[in-house]
Amino acid sequence: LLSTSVVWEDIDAAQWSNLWRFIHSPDRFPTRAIGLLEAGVPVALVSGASGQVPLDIWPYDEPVLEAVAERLRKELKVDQVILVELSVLSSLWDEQQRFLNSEDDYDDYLFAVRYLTDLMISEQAVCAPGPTIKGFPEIPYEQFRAYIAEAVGTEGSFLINVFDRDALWWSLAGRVADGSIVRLTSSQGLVPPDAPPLHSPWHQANAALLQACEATLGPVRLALSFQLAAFEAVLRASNLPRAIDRFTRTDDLIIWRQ
Amino acid sequence: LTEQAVLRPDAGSATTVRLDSRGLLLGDSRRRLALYSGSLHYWQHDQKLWAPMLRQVRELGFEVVDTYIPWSVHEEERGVFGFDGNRDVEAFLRACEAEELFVIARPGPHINAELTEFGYPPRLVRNERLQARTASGAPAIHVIPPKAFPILSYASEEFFGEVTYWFDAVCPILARNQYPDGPIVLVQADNEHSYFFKLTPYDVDYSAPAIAHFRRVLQEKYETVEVLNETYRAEFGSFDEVVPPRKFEATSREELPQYLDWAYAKERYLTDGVHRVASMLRERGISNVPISHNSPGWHGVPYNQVALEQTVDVHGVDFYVHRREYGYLKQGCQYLAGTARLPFIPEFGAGTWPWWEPIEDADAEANALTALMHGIKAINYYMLVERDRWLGSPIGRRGDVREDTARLYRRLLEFLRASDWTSVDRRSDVLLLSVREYERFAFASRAVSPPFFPEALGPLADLLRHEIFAERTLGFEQWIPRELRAWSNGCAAELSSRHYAYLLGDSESSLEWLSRFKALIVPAFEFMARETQEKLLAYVWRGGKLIIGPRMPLTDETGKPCTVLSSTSAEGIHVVEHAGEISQALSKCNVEPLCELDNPNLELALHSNGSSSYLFVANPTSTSQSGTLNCPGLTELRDAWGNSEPLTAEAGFHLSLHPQQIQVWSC
Repeated sequence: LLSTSVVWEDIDAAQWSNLWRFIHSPDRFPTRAIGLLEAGVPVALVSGASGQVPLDIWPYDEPVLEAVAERLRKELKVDQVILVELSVLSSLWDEQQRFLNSEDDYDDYLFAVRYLTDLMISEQAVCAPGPTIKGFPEIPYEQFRAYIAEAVGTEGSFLINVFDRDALWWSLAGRVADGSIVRLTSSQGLVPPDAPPLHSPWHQANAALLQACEATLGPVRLALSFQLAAFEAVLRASNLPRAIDRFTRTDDLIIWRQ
Repeated sequence: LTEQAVLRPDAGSATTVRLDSRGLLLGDSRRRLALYSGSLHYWQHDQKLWAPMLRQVRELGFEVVDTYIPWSVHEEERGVFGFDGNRDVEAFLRACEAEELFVIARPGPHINAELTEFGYPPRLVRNERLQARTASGAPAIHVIPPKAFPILSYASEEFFGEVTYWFDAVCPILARNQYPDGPIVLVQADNEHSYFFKLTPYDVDYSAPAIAHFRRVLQEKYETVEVLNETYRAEFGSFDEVVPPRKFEATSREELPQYLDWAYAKERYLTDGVHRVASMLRERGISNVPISHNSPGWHGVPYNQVALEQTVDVHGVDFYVHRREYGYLKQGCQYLAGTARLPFIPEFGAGTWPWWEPIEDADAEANALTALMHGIKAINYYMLVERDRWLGSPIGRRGDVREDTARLYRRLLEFLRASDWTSVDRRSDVLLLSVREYERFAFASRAVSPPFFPEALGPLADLLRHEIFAERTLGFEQWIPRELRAWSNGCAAELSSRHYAYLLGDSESSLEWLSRFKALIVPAFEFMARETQEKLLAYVWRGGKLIIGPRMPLTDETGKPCTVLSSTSAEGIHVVEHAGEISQALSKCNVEPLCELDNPNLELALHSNGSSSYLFVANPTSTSQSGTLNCPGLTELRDAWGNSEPLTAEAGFHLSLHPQQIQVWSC
């Protein structure tokens, strides 16, 4: 969605920290170990927490790779072990770099190469638990992005606010032209720095931001205003429309669409 | 050792602005200019805002402002450039002069600056002839918002031909604005030349010009193919037949030289690229001021700090880190202080780009104190003035000052002035050395070479986060890359926890440089290059103390017998098998810790000049720490930073530090 000339300004640093910590909190990610093989022979073992682990712990007496992975998982106390041939990895990385389409933006390309990675792991790696990485709490950004793209269309603006009770926790406003995002900002870019603080309760603050977004970025096609818990649930939901519907009913999410 | 201010003889000697280990010296008067600077990107702001923004920079206490000059913004078509409106770089330089600010100018060609395609004109990155290639011949891609792009090959003559158009246009402007005719006191050649962060051994660059560069490096080293064949145990008819390795396949020590050479060529690709850009600047009249370069990292190959400072006047390292990364920043600063002409951070995060973890005010404060504690003398804050694709700067996009954030910078500049920071030296008795041939071995023996796609690697991202060595001994008694890290990291931990005054160094440094330290601690395995062995022995003959381990080398890196160190009768060499024995060895060398402090989790550094001393105490842990400090002759500690009460000695000083706190005491 990003235009190559996207302007990305007046981002509130504190709000951005909130989002970063939320997405990258270590306890949200599974711990993994990766075993590297060359023609079936182990070459190196790396455990996310501790780096490279000597191959002394490799269960050489176990001929079945699935069982090797499971034994290593228990030994290293990680959520998942991936065993993969070095040649497969080399091919994957090569394919990832060949995959760039000159029309792709960052997200398009990232999703494409991630898809290749997931495909490789599910088809050519041995995993415990396996055979795929499904079931781990990674955020399916693609559907969220598609939802915004569909709602905004080729022209217009959008606004996402997340409140922790009545305090604005994170905000993102964007303007779309010719189907690409040409400007991104936060509440800081909608409300001048010398303006009085946004009024609580959050419903009123949201209305003020919506008005400011309309005035600054043009007609708002989509505005989503979440309570923090609802934001987390919606972001991670496997069925986005259903999750949005659910939180709208409980008044933890306010949607504006035009 | 406190005499850090030794100027290397060639540092800026032919220029009006000279550079030494404390900063810059201007003109014949040798006026001292401390290099405390901040970035402002003129083209991102309306010209009317330049003067008020520069005034704010000055008001924070800075005397130097830094700016890129973006090729892509100025180029209208090949060979045609615009310098009007907010692109009028000369008007910006005049505005800086009017506000009594000196300038660091960075004309690229690579600048990043969070611009799409990093400041190169789009026509360049789309030109397939200029693109760097992966091991299989595909264009190498840098993945970054808003658009991934193919990276350029700095081995390509055609690329440098394109740079000529840009430099021919911009250099005359810079040349006529050099000190004393204008405000420019430093010019940077290129930016973060590092394979666009693709720092693994077998990912890039395998373009035809890069392979030709590899062969030229071999020819320069071996001179004849017969010598190369003897070393490689090969039968090449000419250097043109040698192909670079595309993965680590060595199974015996005899195969090692070709991989060490590839690692060396990867270093040379960087130093030769920087040299080429710096030479182009010099040829176009940038002759009054020093030329600098910056790298995004420091540790091991492909970086080579000492070689880079043979191509430019000063080479620094950029840091965008958070307070929990104290150890990484500390080691980087110790390495710069232990190797660089001027320990300089050319980009120190004041805020961040939106696709990175924000650097908060508390991070910036901890980072500043960590850098000073471990020997940094010059800093450029990037970005002091916020702009498109940046957040968290002390000065906003409208010239507004964010008081909460700005407070740190005012306080820091006040401390630097009050302490006369350029005049104090960090006490450094010991240098813990990186040995280049082992670093090349460690680099070349990586089992995997992921491209720089941390976000795209998903569940495989740990392969990029860690050094992963192919677990083969190659016939050596030890698995050297792993033992190297274990021994060196163990020594560093021992030196920190026992409070020795130490820095990190590099075996590439000159004998004169190394001889400034009372003791060298050097990792050593079965092989070590003859040149390194001879330098270390010369250091011992000069009276230095050499602590070496875990064993004595018996061959050179090609496997030929070389017993320069093991057969010497010189006194002053101590072999230490285990890192835990370092303090005993230092004691035998009459090197003592800085002070007695009964908490090994707390770290110390002492800076002093003839009249003042500053003791830094760091708690890098995530829990509160306390300890009792005993230093002979020390009766009072006065808070020099403003976060602690004064202390007087009562059976020692009772220190108490919050998690990740650094205290600065005047004593």
